[in-house]
Amino acid sequence: MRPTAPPPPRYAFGYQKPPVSGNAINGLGERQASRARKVFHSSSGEPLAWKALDDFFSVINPWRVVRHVIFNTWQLRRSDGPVRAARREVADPRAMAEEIKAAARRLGASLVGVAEVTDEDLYEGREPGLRYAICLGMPMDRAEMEHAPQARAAAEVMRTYREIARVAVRLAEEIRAMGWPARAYGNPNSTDILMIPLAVRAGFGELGKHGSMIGVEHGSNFRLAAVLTDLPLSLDSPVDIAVDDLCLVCRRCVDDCPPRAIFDEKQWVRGQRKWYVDFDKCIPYFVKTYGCAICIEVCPWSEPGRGPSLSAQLLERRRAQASPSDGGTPT
Amino acid sequence: MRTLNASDPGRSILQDLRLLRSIGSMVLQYWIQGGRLRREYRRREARGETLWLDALGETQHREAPLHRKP
Repeated sequence: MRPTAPPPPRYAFGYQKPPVSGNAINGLGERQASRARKVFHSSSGEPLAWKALDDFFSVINPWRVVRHVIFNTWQLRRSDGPVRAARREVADPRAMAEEIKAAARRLGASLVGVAEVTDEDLYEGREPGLRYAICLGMPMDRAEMEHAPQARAAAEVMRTYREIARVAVRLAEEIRAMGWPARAYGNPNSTDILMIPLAVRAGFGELGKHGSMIGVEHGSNFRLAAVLTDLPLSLDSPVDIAVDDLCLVCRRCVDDCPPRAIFDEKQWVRGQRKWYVDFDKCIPYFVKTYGCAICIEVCPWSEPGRGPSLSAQLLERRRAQASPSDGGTPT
Repeated sequence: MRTLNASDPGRSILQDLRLLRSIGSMVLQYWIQGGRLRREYRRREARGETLWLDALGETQHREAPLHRKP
């Protein structure tokens, strides 16, 4: 997919006195591990350095996008609630995890996995309280997303968030009915947790060069939600689908990003060397185009049905390179 | 510090009504104040001018009514 005539990165909005760089807040260049700090999407209305731009973004979004946010807000009133007094004891966390995954799929999730919540997954100033995260993923309609970076794609993004949040809310209700605390997280604008590190450890995929997740089934064309709970569950493991093998040589997202916000090399960010997107370049374009999404849609992994064969081919190539005597070079 | 397991004791109809009122405010704010801002932005965009966000004074997030204390 190639974006059709994306608007140029010129802006009719801006700051006379720009706030502190979002990259500095995000910890770009920091080799010391630290917790993530909120920079843009406000949680609970707390003031952030880029508040004026965030506020502007929130009101320039078209109604077709905002209506999904409104419905999501209404359904998320049930993200937490009373826990049934009679607790169902769990003798086998593995069997329970399978039961929960089947329930999540029945409710409409495409991807389900479990990870333990660590400090790395929480913004500064938040304490976990609940031990496990049930990560949920749902693909977006590719035909709609091919309209990125137009409002039509933004509406599909928020529709998907609304749908996956519905699954999270219902799953949390089912867990509370078993006598275990559970809280649904399904609003991308006001969350306390970082979904991506959790989803990576839950086995959904790996972080891509464009700063979003890449999974084998949907590439980057999916959205995340989570349920935090104390219900004993067996954990999933991160997967190696060879994302880095491609991202290290592929430049599709770098070249197709109108504001040139995607670094071609991994960066140090809060003590980890990882893929990172330049906040100060990305966010104004993100605001102008109601969420952009070019990078995730041009990603070769996002082409429907391509992920499994791409992953297999890259893993095979890696194996062949590791032991050249084993065979030739796969095409 | 906010602990994420502070379990909600259960919502009352009153709480739901308050949320509905907040959502109503959010919608009104989006159409009235937001509409004004969107028109101003489009006007400046058409003229090749810049809307200075830090010169707008105290701005409000679309979801601000949800965070207001009752």
